[in-house]
Amino acid sequence: MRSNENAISPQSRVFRSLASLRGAGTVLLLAFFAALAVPTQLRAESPLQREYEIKAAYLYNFINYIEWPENAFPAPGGTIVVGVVGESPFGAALQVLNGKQIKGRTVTLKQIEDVKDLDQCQIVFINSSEKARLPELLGKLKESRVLTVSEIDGFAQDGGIINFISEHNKVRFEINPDAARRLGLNISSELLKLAKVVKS
Amino acid sequence: MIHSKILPRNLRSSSTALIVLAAWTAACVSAPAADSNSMADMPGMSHNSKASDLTGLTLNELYNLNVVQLNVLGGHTHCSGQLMFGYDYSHTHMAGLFEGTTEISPAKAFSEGFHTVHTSMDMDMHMLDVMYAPSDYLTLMTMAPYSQMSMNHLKSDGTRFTQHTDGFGDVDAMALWTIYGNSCTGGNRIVLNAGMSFPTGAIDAMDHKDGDRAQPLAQLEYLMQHGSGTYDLLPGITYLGESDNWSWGMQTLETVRLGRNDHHYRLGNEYGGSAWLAYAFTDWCAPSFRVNGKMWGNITGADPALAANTTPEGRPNLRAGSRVDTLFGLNFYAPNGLLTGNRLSIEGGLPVYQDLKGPQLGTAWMISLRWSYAF
Repeated sequence: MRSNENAISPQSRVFRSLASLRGAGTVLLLAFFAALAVPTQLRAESPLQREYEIKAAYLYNFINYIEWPENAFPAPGGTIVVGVVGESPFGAALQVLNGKQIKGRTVTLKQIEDVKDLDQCQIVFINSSEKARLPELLGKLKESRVLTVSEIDGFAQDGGIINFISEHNKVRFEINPDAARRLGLNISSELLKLAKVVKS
Repeated sequence: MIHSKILPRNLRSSSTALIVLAAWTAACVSAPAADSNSMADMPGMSHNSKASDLTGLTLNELYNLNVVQLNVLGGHTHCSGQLMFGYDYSHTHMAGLFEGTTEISPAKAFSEGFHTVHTSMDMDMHMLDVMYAPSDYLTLMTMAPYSQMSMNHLKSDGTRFTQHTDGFGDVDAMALWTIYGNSCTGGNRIVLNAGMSFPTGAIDAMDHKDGDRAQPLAQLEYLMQHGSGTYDLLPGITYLGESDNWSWGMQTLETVRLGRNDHHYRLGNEYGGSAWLAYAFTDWCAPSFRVNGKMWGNITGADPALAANTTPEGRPNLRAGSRVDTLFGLNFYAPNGLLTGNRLSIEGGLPVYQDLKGPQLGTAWMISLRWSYAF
Protein backbone atom coordinates (compact mmCIF):
# COMPACT_ATOMS: atom_id res chain seq x y z
CA MET A 1 0.00 0.00 0.00
CA ARG A 2 1.35 3.43 -0.91
CA SER A 3 1.52 5.91 1.92
CA ASN A 4 0.37 9.51 1.58
CA GLU A 5 3.99 10.61 1.67
CA ASN A 6 4.62 8.60 -1.49
CA ALA A 7 2.02 10.71 -3.26
CA ILE A 8 4.14 13.82 -2.71
CA SER A 9 6.40 14.80 -5.57
CA PRO A 10 10.16 14.23 -5.33
CA GLN A 11 10.68 18.00 -5.56
CA SER A 12 8.48 18.47 -2.51
CA ARG A 13 10.31 15.80 -0.52
CA VAL A 14 13.60 17.56 -1.21
CA PHE A 15 12.21 20.81 0.12
CA ARG A 16 10.85 19.15 3.21
CA SER A 17 14.08 17.38 3.98
CA LEU A 18 15.98 20.63 3.61
CA ALA A 19 13.64 22.57 5.85
CA SER A 20 16.08 22.64 8.73
CA LEU A 21 16.92 26.31 9.10
CA ARG A 22 13.68 27.41 10.75
CA GLY A 23 13.60 31.14 11.35
CA ALA A 24 16.47 32.02 9.06
CA GLY A 25 14.00 33.10 6.38
CA THR A 26 12.54 35.57 8.85
CA VAL A 27 15.99 36.96 9.56
CA LEU A 28 16.71 37.44 5.86
CA LEU A 29 13.33 39.06 5.31
CA LEU A 30 14.05 41.49 8.14
CA ALA A 31 17.51 42.12 6.68
CA PHE A 32 15.91 43.05 3.39
CA PHE A 33 13.58 45.51 5.11
CA ALA A 34 16.52 46.93 7.05
CA ALA A 35 18.39 47.44 3.78
CA LEU A 36 15.38 49.32 2.47
CA ALA A 37 14.90 51.31 5.64
CA VAL A 38 18.50 52.51 5.97
CA PRO A 39 19.63 53.35 2.45
CA THR A 40 23.20 54.54 2.55
CA GLN A 41 22.85 57.06 -0.24
CA LEU A 42 19.40 58.44 0.51
CA ARG A 43 18.76 61.92 -0.80
CA ALA A 44 15.80 63.97 -1.81
CA GLU A 45 14.76 63.16 -5.38
CA SER A 46 11.48 64.84 -6.13
CA PRO A 47 10.34 66.13 -9.52
CA LEU A 48 11.65 69.48 -8.27
CA GLN A 49 15.11 68.02 -7.73
CA ARG A 50 15.01 66.40 -11.17
CA GLU A 51 13.97 69.68 -12.74
CA TYR A 52 17.09 71.33 -11.34
CA GLU A 53 19.27 68.41 -12.39
CA ILE A 54 18.05 69.08 -15.93
CA LYS A 55 18.62 72.84 -15.58
CA ALA A 56 22.14 72.27 -14.23
CA ALA A 57 22.88 70.03 -17.23
CA TYR A 58 21.56 72.75 -19.53
CA LEU A 59 23.89 75.33 -17.96
CA TYR A 60 26.79 73.00 -18.70
CA ASN A 61 25.57 72.30 -22.24
CA PHE A 62 25.08 76.01 -23.02
CA ILE A 63 28.86 76.47 -22.74
CA ASN A 64 29.26 74.41 -25.91
CA TYR A 65 26.82 76.56 -27.83
CA ILE A 66 27.91 80.06 -26.72
CA GLU A 67 31.03 81.91 -27.83
CA TRP A 68 32.36 84.48 -25.42
CA PRO A 69 34.68 87.25 -26.56
CA GLU A 70 38.33 86.68 -25.59
CA ASN A 71 38.22 89.44 -22.98
CA ALA A 72 35.44 87.57 -21.09
CA PHE A 73 38.13 85.31 -19.61
CA PRO A 74 40.91 86.65 -17.40
CA ALA A 75 43.39 84.02 -18.67
CA PRO A 76 43.43 81.36 -21.39
CA GLY A 77 42.88 77.79 -20.21
CA GLY A 78 41.56 79.00 -16.89
CA THR A 79 38.11 78.57 -15.46
CA ILE A 80 34.53 79.10 -16.47
CA VAL A 81 32.77 80.50 -13.44
CA VAL A 82 29.08 79.77 -12.94
CA GLY A 83 27.67 82.18 -10.37
CA VAL A 84 24.34 82.00 -8.57
CA VAL A 85 22.61 85.13 -7.32
CA GLY A 86 20.20 84.58 -4.42
CA GLU A 87 19.51 81.34 -2.61
CA SER A 88 20.45 78.50 -4.96
CA PRO A 89 17.42 76.43 -5.95
CA PHE A 90 19.68 73.70 -7.37
CA GLY A 91 20.57 71.94 -4.14
CA ALA A 92 23.19 69.31 -4.96
CA ALA A 93 22.31 69.35 -8.65
CA LEU A 94 24.72 72.20 -9.47
CA GLN A 95 27.60 70.59 -7.57
CA VAL A 96 28.01 67.98 -10.32
CA LEU A 97 29.32 70.75 -12.61
CA ASN A 98 32.11 71.71 -10.23
CA GLY A 99 35.51 70.75 -11.64
CA LYS A 100 34.23 69.52 -14.99
CA GLN A 101 36.39 70.25 -18.02
CA ILE A 102 34.81 71.85 -21.05
CA LYS A 103 36.35 73.75 -23.96
CA GLY A 104 39.74 73.41 -22.25
CA ARG A 105 38.53 75.15 -19.11
CA THR A 106 37.44 74.01 -15.65
CA VAL A 107 33.97 74.82 -14.41
CA THR A 108 33.88 76.40 -10.96
CA LEU A 109 30.87 77.51 -8.95
CA LYS A 110 30.45 80.74 -7.09
CA GLN A 111 27.72 82.03 -4.80
CA ILE A 112 27.39 85.75 -5.56
CA GLU A 113 27.03 87.72 -2.32
CA ASP A 114 28.10 91.11 -3.72
CA VAL A 115 27.10 92.52 -7.13
CA LYS A 116 30.66 93.59 -7.79
CA ASP A 117 31.56 89.89 -8.05
CA LEU A 118 29.24 89.44 -11.05
CA ASP A 119 32.03 90.42 -13.46
CA GLN A 120 34.13 87.45 -12.29
CA CYS A 121 31.61 85.03 -13.80
CA GLN A 122 30.97 83.86 -17.36
CA ILE A 123 27.50 82.52 -16.52
CA VAL A 124 25.20 83.98 -13.87
CA PHE A 125 22.01 82.25 -12.76
CA ILE A 126 19.60 84.68 -11.12
CA ASN A 127 17.18 82.97 -8.76
CA SER A 128 13.50 83.96 -8.73
CA SER A 129 13.96 85.28 -5.19
CA GLU A 130 15.85 88.19 -6.78
CA LYS A 131 12.99 89.24 -9.06
CA ALA A 132 12.68 92.62 -7.37
CA ARG A 133 16.40 93.28 -7.91
CA LEU A 134 16.33 92.26 -11.57
CA PRO A 135 16.64 95.81 -13.06
CA GLU A 136 19.57 96.51 -10.73
CA LEU A 137 21.34 93.23 -11.54
CA LEU A 138 20.85 93.49 -15.31
CA GLY A 139 22.00 97.11 -15.13
CA LYS A 140 25.24 96.03 -13.44
CA LEU A 141 25.79 93.43 -16.15
CA LYS A 142 25.07 95.80 -19.04
CA GLU A 143 28.76 96.28 -19.84
CA SER A 144 29.86 92.75 -18.92
CA ARG A 145 30.48 89.61 -21.00
CA VAL A 146 28.25 87.43 -18.80
CA LEU A 147 25.62 84.98 -19.99
CA THR A 148 22.59 85.66 -17.81
CA VAL A 149 20.20 82.78 -17.10
CA SER A 150 17.09 82.71 -14.94
CA GLU A 151 13.64 81.22 -14.49
CA ILE A 152 11.75 84.44 -13.78
CA ASP A 153 8.69 85.13 -15.92
CA GLY A 154 9.58 87.78 -18.52
CA PHE A 155 13.33 87.61 -17.75
CA ALA A 156 14.37 87.41 -21.42
CA GLN A 157 11.93 90.17 -22.42
CA ASP A 158 13.39 92.34 -19.64
CA GLY A 159 16.91 92.07 -21.05
CA GLY A 160 18.15 88.72 -19.70
CA ILE A 161 19.61 86.25 -22.22
CA ILE A 162 18.24 82.77 -21.41
CA ASN A 163 15.15 82.00 -19.37
CA PHE A 164 14.02 78.48 -18.38
CA ILE A 165 10.35 77.72 -18.89
CA SER A 166 8.20 74.63 -18.26
CA GLU A 167 6.43 73.13 -21.23
CA HIS A 168 4.59 69.80 -21.36
CA ASN A 169 6.47 68.27 -18.44
CA LYS A 170 9.82 69.32 -19.96
CA VAL A 171 12.35 72.07 -19.29
CA ARG A 172 12.55 74.40 -22.28
CA PHE A 173 14.07 77.85 -22.64
CA GLU A 174 13.61 81.30 -24.15
CA ILE A 175 16.52 83.22 -25.64
CA ASN A 176 16.85 86.91 -26.29
CA PRO A 177 19.54 86.97 -29.05
CA ASP A 178 19.64 90.79 -29.12
CA ALA A 179 20.55 90.89 -25.44
CA ALA A 180 23.34 88.39 -26.10
CA ARG A 181 24.62 90.32 -29.10
CA ARG A 182 24.77 93.56 -27.09
CA LEU A 183 27.18 91.85 -24.66
CA GLY A 184 29.28 90.38 -27.46
CA LEU A 185 28.11 86.79 -26.94
CA ASN A 186 27.54 84.65 -29.99
CA ILE A 187 24.78 82.05 -29.71
CA SER A 188 24.92 79.09 -32.07
CA SER A 189 22.06 78.51 -34.46
CA GLU A 190 21.63 74.98 -33.05
CA LEU A 191 20.76 76.43 -29.65
CA LEU A 192 18.49 79.07 -31.17
CA LYS A 193 16.67 76.39 -33.14
CA LEU A 194 15.47 74.74 -29.91
CA ALA A 195 14.73 78.01 -28.11
CA LYS A 196 11.68 80.20 -28.08
CA VAL A 197 13.22 83.41 -29.40
CA VAL A 198 12.03 86.61 -27.69
CA LYS A 199 12.85 90.29 -28.03
CA SER A 200 13.37 92.96 -25.40
CA MET B 1 -15.77 38.07 11.66
CA ILE B 2 -12.89 35.73 12.26
CA HIS B 3 -9.36 37.07 12.21
CA SER B 4 -6.87 34.70 10.74
CA LYS B 5 -3.78 33.58 12.52
CA ILE B 6 -0.84 35.04 10.74
CA LEU B 7 2.92 35.10 10.49
CA PRO B 8 4.52 32.68 12.96
CA ARG B 9 3.31 29.30 11.72
CA ASN B 10 3.84 30.22 8.12
CA LEU B 11 7.32 31.56 8.46
CA ARG B 12 9.03 28.25 8.07
CA SER B 13 11.90 28.07 5.71
CA SER B 14 13.39 25.77 3.16
CA SER B 15 17.09 25.71 2.43
CA THR B 16 16.69 26.18 -1.27
CA ALA B 17 14.51 29.22 -0.78
CA LEU B 18 17.10 30.58 1.63
CA ILE B 19 19.93 30.08 -0.83
CA VAL B 20 18.00 31.90 -3.55
CA LEU B 21 17.05 34.66 -1.15
CA ALA B 22 20.53 34.99 0.31
CA ALA B 23 22.08 35.31 -3.14
CA TRP B 24 19.49 37.81 -4.16
CA THR B 25 19.82 39.86 -0.95
CA ALA B 26 23.61 39.86 -1.32
CA ALA B 27 23.22 41.08 -4.88
CA CYS B 28 20.93 43.87 -3.71
CA VAL B 29 23.22 44.93 -0.88
CA SER B 30 26.34 44.90 -3.03
CA ALA B 31 24.64 46.50 -6.00
CA PRO B 32 25.13 50.17 -5.17
CA ALA B 33 28.90 49.88 -5.05
CA ALA B 34 29.14 47.67 -8.10
CA ASP B 35 26.79 49.86 -9.99
CA SER B 36 28.66 53.02 -9.08
CA ASN B 37 31.68 51.68 -10.89
CA SER B 38 29.73 50.71 -13.95
CA MET B 39 28.07 54.09 -14.12
CA ALA B 40 31.39 55.86 -13.88
CA ASP B 41 32.42 54.00 -16.99
CA MET B 42 29.45 55.22 -18.96
CA PRO B 43 30.12 58.29 -21.04
CA GLY B 44 26.62 59.64 -20.62
CA MET B 45 25.97 59.22 -16.95
CA SER B 46 28.62 59.55 -14.28
CA HIS B 47 27.52 58.78 -10.75
CA ASN B 48 27.23 61.26 -7.94
CA SER B 49 26.04 60.31 -4.48
CA LYS B 50 24.05 63.52 -4.08
CA ALA B 51 22.45 64.23 -7.44
CA SER B 52 22.08 62.65 -10.84
CA ASP B 53 24.58 64.00 -13.33
CA LEU B 54 22.82 64.65 -16.63
CA THR B 55 25.63 66.64 -18.23
CA GLY B 56 26.47 63.71 -20.51
CA LEU B 57 23.16 64.13 -22.30
CA THR B 58 23.03 66.09 -25.51
CA LEU B 59 21.08 69.31 -25.85
CA ASN B 60 18.35 67.46 -27.75
CA GLU B 61 18.13 64.76 -25.11
CA LEU B 62 17.75 67.35 -22.35
CA TYR B 63 15.16 69.16 -24.45
CA ASN B 64 13.02 65.99 -24.62
CA LEU B 65 13.56 64.78 -21.06
CA ASN B 66 10.44 64.50 -18.90
CA VAL B 67 10.61 66.14 -15.47
CA VAL B 68 8.02 63.78 -14.03
CA GLN B 69 8.39 60.14 -15.03
CA LEU B 70 5.30 59.23 -17.02
CA ASN B 71 5.54 55.48 -16.98
CA VAL B 72 4.38 54.30 -13.59
CA LEU B 73 2.44 51.19 -14.53
CA GLY B 74 3.96 47.73 -14.31
CA GLY B 75 7.49 47.31 -12.99
CA HIS B 76 8.52 50.92 -13.14
CA THR B 77 11.87 51.98 -11.75
CA HIS B 78 13.33 55.09 -10.11
CA CYS B 79 16.30 57.43 -10.29
CA SER B 80 19.23 56.79 -7.98
CA GLY B 81 18.46 57.69 -4.37
CA GLN B 82 14.73 58.06 -4.88
CA LEU B 83 12.44 56.66 -2.22
CA MET B 84 8.75 56.07 -2.88
CA PHE B 85 5.91 55.09 -0.56
CA GLY B 86 2.69 53.82 -2.03
CA TYR B 87 -0.72 52.69 -0.91
CA ASP B 88 -3.01 50.59 -3.09
CA TYR B 89 -6.63 49.87 -2.47
CA SER B 90 -8.35 47.43 -4.76
CA HIS B 91 -11.80 45.88 -4.82
CA THR B 92 -12.56 42.77 -6.82
CA HIS B 93 -16.05 41.44 -7.28
CA MET B 94 -16.36 37.82 -8.31
CA ALA B 95 -19.63 36.36 -9.46
CA GLY B 96 -20.97 33.59 -11.67
CA LEU B 97 -19.92 29.95 -11.90
CA PHE B 98 -17.88 29.06 -14.95
CA GLU B 99 -17.03 25.78 -16.63
CA GLY B 100 -14.57 26.58 -19.34
CA THR B 101 -15.72 29.80 -20.95
CA THR B 102 -19.39 29.09 -20.21
CA GLU B 103 -21.26 30.40 -17.22
CA ILE B 104 -23.39 27.72 -15.61
CA SER B 105 -26.28 27.87 -13.18
CA PRO B 106 -26.01 26.77 -9.55
CA ALA B 107 -28.55 24.03 -10.41
CA LYS B 108 -26.09 22.57 -12.94
CA ALA B 109 -23.35 22.61 -10.30
CA PHE B 110 -25.65 20.85 -7.81
CA SER B 111 -26.40 18.22 -10.45
CA GLU B 112 -22.65 17.50 -10.59
CA GLY B 113 -22.71 16.43 -6.94
CA PHE B 114 -21.84 19.62 -5.07
CA HIS B 115 -24.05 20.47 -2.10
CA THR B 116 -22.97 24.11 -1.78
CA VAL B 117 -21.78 26.65 -4.34
CA HIS B 118 -20.37 30.15 -4.09
CA THR B 119 -22.54 32.75 -5.74
CA SER B 120 -20.28 35.79 -5.28
CA MET B 121 -17.24 37.05 -3.48
CA ASP B 122 -15.93 40.52 -2.68
CA MET B 123 -12.33 41.17 -1.85
CA ASP B 124 -10.88 44.44 -0.57
CA MET B 125 -7.14 44.60 -0.56
CA HIS B 126 -5.00 47.28 1.05
CA MET B 127 -1.35 47.21 0.14
CA LEU B 128 1.57 49.28 1.33
CA ASP B 129 4.68 49.36 -0.78
CA VAL B 130 8.09 50.92 -0.58
CA MET B 131 10.49 51.40 -3.47
CA TYR B 132 14.08 52.55 -3.15
CA ALA B 133 16.63 52.97 -5.91
CA PRO B 134 20.25 52.57 -4.77
CA SER B 135 21.28 53.42 -8.33
CA ASP B 136 19.77 54.46 -11.64
CA TYR B 137 19.90 50.79 -12.64
CA LEU B 138 18.50 49.05 -9.57
CA THR B 139 15.22 49.58 -7.75
CA LEU B 140 14.27 47.55 -4.69
CA MET B 141 10.63 47.10 -3.85
CA THR B 142 8.63 45.47 -1.09
CA MET B 143 4.86 45.08 -0.77
CA ALA B 144 2.71 44.09 2.21
CA PRO B 145 -0.98 43.34 1.57
CA TYR B 146 -3.95 43.16 3.92
CA SER B 147 -7.16 41.68 2.57
CA GLN B 148 -10.78 41.43 3.63
CA MET B 149 -12.91 38.80 1.94
CA SER B 150 -16.57 37.96 2.03
CA MET B 151 -18.11 35.00 0.18
CA ASN B 152 -21.78 34.31 -0.39
CA HIS B 153 -22.95 30.70 -0.58
CA LEU B 154 -26.02 28.88 -1.82
CA LYS B 155 -26.86 25.41 -0.58
CA SER B 156 -28.75 22.84 -2.61
CA ASP B 157 -31.70 23.17 -0.20
CA GLY B 158 -31.98 26.84 -1.18
CA THR B 159 -30.52 28.35 2.02
CA ARG B 160 -27.87 31.06 1.77
CA PHE B 161 -25.05 32.12 4.05
CA THR B 162 -21.98 34.34 4.05
CA GLN B 163 -18.50 33.78 5.42
CA HIS B 164 -15.83 36.40 6.06
CA THR B 165 -12.14 36.56 6.75
CA ASP B 166 -9.47 39.22 6.91
CA GLY B 167 -5.74 39.20 7.45
CA PHE B 168 -2.29 39.97 6.14
CA GLY B 169 -1.22 38.35 2.90
CA ASP B 170 2.17 37.26 1.62
CA VAL B 171 4.89 39.92 1.66
CA ASP B 172 6.72 40.32 -1.64
CA ALA B 173 10.24 41.65 -2.07
CA MET B 174 11.61 42.39 -5.50
CA ALA B 175 14.67 43.76 -7.25
CA LEU B 176 14.12 45.54 -10.57
CA TRP B 177 17.29 45.65 -12.62
CA THR B 178 17.43 47.91 -15.66
CA ILE B 179 19.45 45.99 -18.24
CA TYR B 180 18.78 48.34 -21.13
CA GLY B 181 18.28 52.10 -21.00
CA ASN B 182 18.37 54.29 -17.90
CA SER B 183 15.66 54.87 -15.27
CA CYS B 184 16.66 58.47 -14.81
CA THR B 185 16.70 59.56 -18.42
CA GLY B 186 13.58 57.57 -19.39
CA GLY B 187 13.03 56.43 -22.96
CA ASN B 188 13.09 52.76 -23.89
CA ARG B 189 14.07 50.48 -21.05
CA ILE B 190 14.13 46.77 -20.29
CA VAL B 191 13.91 45.76 -16.66
CA LEU B 192 14.50 42.32 -15.16
CA ASN B 193 12.31 41.50 -12.18
CA ALA B 194 13.67 39.11 -9.56
CA GLY B 195 11.48 38.68 -6.54
CA MET B 196 10.33 36.42 -3.81
CA SER B 197 7.03 36.07 -2.01
CA PHE B 198 7.27 35.18 1.66
CA PRO B 199 4.61 32.99 3.31
CA THR B 200 3.40 35.59 5.81
CA GLY B 201 -0.27 35.20 4.87
CA ALA B 202 -2.52 32.76 6.68
CA ILE B 203 -3.48 29.43 5.14
CA ASP B 204 -5.68 28.48 8.07
CA ALA B 205 -8.35 31.19 7.85
CA MET B 206 -11.62 29.93 9.33
CA ASP B 207 -15.17 31.05 9.90
CA HIS B 208 -18.23 29.44 11.43
CA LYS B 209 -19.70 26.58 9.43
CA ASP B 210 -22.57 27.76 7.24
CA GLY B 211 -21.90 31.28 8.54
CA ASP B 212 -23.80 30.36 11.71
CA ARG B 213 -22.17 31.57 14.92
CA ALA B 214 -23.69 28.64 16.76
CA GLN B 215 -21.71 26.24 14.59
CA PRO B 216 -18.02 25.42 15.11
CA LEU B 217 -15.24 27.07 13.10
CA ALA B 218 -14.38 25.43 9.80
CA GLN B 219 -11.45 25.83 7.42
CA LEU B 220 -12.30 28.18 4.56
CA GLU B 221 -11.71 27.23 0.94
CA TYR B 222 -8.43 27.86 -0.91
CA LEU B 223 -9.77 31.03 -2.48
CA MET B 224 -10.45 32.56 0.92
CA GLN B 225 -6.94 31.98 2.28
CA HIS B 226 -4.63 34.98 2.52
CA GLY B 227 -1.37 33.37 1.55
CA SER B 228 0.15 30.55 -0.42
CA GLY B 229 2.00 29.07 2.55
CA THR B 230 5.07 28.60 0.35
CA TYR B 231 8.08 30.64 -0.65
CA ASP B 232 7.40 31.68 -4.23
CA LEU B 233 9.77 33.01 -6.85
CA LEU B 234 8.60 36.05 -8.81
CA PRO B 235 10.64 36.28 -12.01
CA GLY B 236 9.66 38.65 -14.77
CA ILE B 237 10.71 41.07 -17.43
CA THR B 238 9.35 44.53 -18.21
CA TYR B 239 9.68 46.76 -21.23
CA LEU B 240 9.01 50.47 -20.69
CA GLY B 241 8.89 53.12 -23.38
CA GLU B 242 7.95 56.77 -23.62
CA SER B 243 7.95 59.48 -26.21
CA ASP B 244 6.75 63.04 -25.69
CA ASN B 245 3.38 62.61 -24.00
CA TRP B 246 2.96 58.89 -24.63
CA SER B 247 4.13 56.11 -22.36
CA TRP B 248 3.72 52.40 -22.88
CA GLY B 249 5.00 49.10 -21.64
CA MET B 250 4.72 45.34 -21.47
CA GLN B 251 5.39 43.06 -18.59
CA THR B 252 5.45 39.36 -17.91
CA LEU B 253 5.54 38.31 -14.26
CA GLU B 254 5.39 34.73 -13.06
CA THR B 255 4.76 33.15 -9.68
CA VAL B 256 6.65 29.90 -9.26
CA ARG B 257 5.68 28.05 -6.09
CA LEU B 258 8.35 26.16 -4.16
CA GLY B 259 7.60 23.03 -2.16
CA ARG B 260 4.38 22.50 -0.24
CA ASN B 261 2.93 24.38 2.68
CA ASP B 262 2.03 23.20 6.18
CA HIS B 263 -1.36 22.07 4.91
CA HIS B 264 0.27 19.69 2.41
CA TYR B 265 -0.55 21.50 -0.80
CA ARG B 266 0.99 23.92 -3.27
CA LEU B 267 -1.03 26.48 -5.19
CA GLY B 268 -0.67 26.41 -8.96
CA ASN B 269 2.00 28.49 -10.64
CA GLU B 270 0.81 31.74 -12.20
CA TYR B 271 1.90 33.18 -15.53
CA GLY B 272 0.90 36.79 -16.09
CA GLY B 273 1.38 39.31 -18.87
CA SER B 274 0.18 42.85 -19.36
CA ALA B 275 0.55 45.68 -21.85
CA TRP B 276 -0.42 49.30 -21.37
CA LEU B 277 -0.54 52.67 -23.04
CA ALA B 278 -0.99 56.09 -21.45
CA TYR B 279 -1.22 59.59 -22.86
CA ALA B 280 -0.46 62.68 -20.77
CA PHE B 281 -2.77 65.28 -22.23
CA THR B 282 -1.72 67.81 -19.57
CA ASP B 283 1.27 68.14 -17.24
CA TRP B 284 -0.77 66.53 -14.48
CA CYS B 285 -3.14 63.98 -15.95
CA ALA B 286 -2.72 60.88 -18.12
CA PRO B 287 -5.50 58.41 -18.96
CA SER B 288 -4.32 54.86 -19.50
CA PHE B 289 -5.50 51.62 -21.04
CA ARG B 290 -4.19 48.25 -19.96
CA VAL B 291 -4.72 44.65 -21.00
CA ASN B 292 -3.90 42.10 -18.36
CA GLY B 293 -3.70 38.35 -18.99
CA LYS B 294 -3.14 35.59 -16.49
CA MET B 295 -2.99 31.77 -16.44
CA TRP B 296 -2.81 29.69 -13.31
CA GLY B 297 -2.65 26.00 -12.53
CA ASN B 298 -4.46 23.58 -10.27
CA ILE B 299 -3.42 22.92 -6.71
CA THR B 300 -0.96 20.08 -6.12
CA GLY B 301 -1.82 18.04 -3.04
CA ALA B 302 -4.82 18.89 -0.90
CA ASP B 303 -5.62 20.49 2.44
CA PRO B 304 -6.90 17.65 4.70
CA ALA B 305 -9.01 20.24 6.54
CA LEU B 306 -11.07 20.66 3.36
CA ALA B 307 -11.68 16.94 2.79
CA ALA B 308 -15.31 17.24 3.87
CA ASN B 309 -15.90 20.49 2.00
CA THR B 310 -18.74 20.11 -0.49
CA THR B 311 -18.09 23.22 -2.61
CA PRO B 312 -16.25 23.36 -5.93
CA GLU B 313 -13.86 25.90 -4.33
CA GLY B 314 -12.78 23.17 -1.90
CA ARG B 315 -11.53 20.94 -4.75
CA PRO B 316 -7.82 21.31 -5.59
CA ASN B 317 -8.39 20.01 -9.13
CA LEU B 318 -10.92 22.76 -9.94
CA ARG B 319 -8.66 25.77 -9.49
CA ALA B 320 -6.89 26.28 -12.83
CA GLY B 321 -7.90 28.89 -15.34
CA SER B 322 -6.98 31.81 -17.50
CA ARG B 323 -8.38 35.32 -17.80
CA VAL B 324 -7.88 38.48 -19.83
CA ASP B 325 -8.92 41.82 -18.29
CA THR B 326 -9.17 45.24 -19.90
CA LEU B 327 -8.66 48.20 -17.61
CA PHE B 328 -9.05 51.95 -18.02
CA GLY B 329 -7.25 54.33 -15.71
CA LEU B 330 -6.69 57.95 -14.87
CA ASN B 331 -3.28 58.92 -13.51
CA PHE B 332 -2.76 62.26 -11.79
CA TYR B 333 0.52 63.72 -10.63
CA ALA B 334 1.69 67.00 -9.18
CA PRO B 335 4.74 68.31 -11.04
CA ASN B 336 5.14 71.28 -8.71
CA GLY B 337 3.62 73.13 -5.76
CA LEU B 338 2.73 71.80 -2.34
CA LEU B 339 1.75 68.38 -3.67
CA THR B 340 4.98 67.85 -5.61
CA GLY B 341 5.88 64.15 -5.71
CA ASN B 342 2.31 62.93 -5.14
CA ARG B 343 0.58 60.65 -7.63
CA LEU B 344 -2.95 59.33 -7.65
CA SER B 345 -4.23 56.65 -10.01
CA ILE B 346 -7.68 55.18 -10.44
CA GLU B 347 -8.14 52.13 -12.60
CA GLY B 348 -11.13 49.94 -13.24
CA GLY B 349 -11.93 47.11 -15.60
CA LEU B 350 -13.56 43.81 -16.29
CA PRO B 351 -12.65 40.51 -17.87
CA VAL B 352 -13.19 40.10 -21.58
CA TYR B 353 -12.27 36.44 -21.49
CA GLN B 354 -12.15 33.79 -18.78
CA ASP B 355 -11.69 30.07 -19.15
CA LEU B 356 -11.96 28.31 -15.81
CA LYS B 357 -11.63 24.68 -14.79
CA GLY B 358 -14.88 24.49 -12.96
CA PRO B 359 -17.39 24.95 -11.64
CA GLN B 360 -15.30 27.90 -10.47
CA LEU B 361 -16.26 31.40 -9.41
CA GLY B 362 -15.54 33.91 -12.17
CA THR B 363 -14.45 37.53 -11.90
CA ALA B 364 -17.00 40.25 -12.65
CA TRP B 365 -15.12 43.53 -12.28
CA MET B 366 -12.32 45.22 -10.38
CA ILE B 367 -11.38 48.75 -9.40
CA SER B 368 -8.25 50.11 -7.76
CA LEU B 369 -7.03 53.34 -6.29
CA ARG B 370 -3.35 54.05 -5.87
CA TRP B 371 -1.55 56.88 -4.11
CA SER B 372 2.21 57.24 -4.06
CA TYR B 373 4.66 59.80 -2.86
CA ALA B 374 8.23 59.99 -4.06
CA PHE B 375 10.85 62.11 -2.33
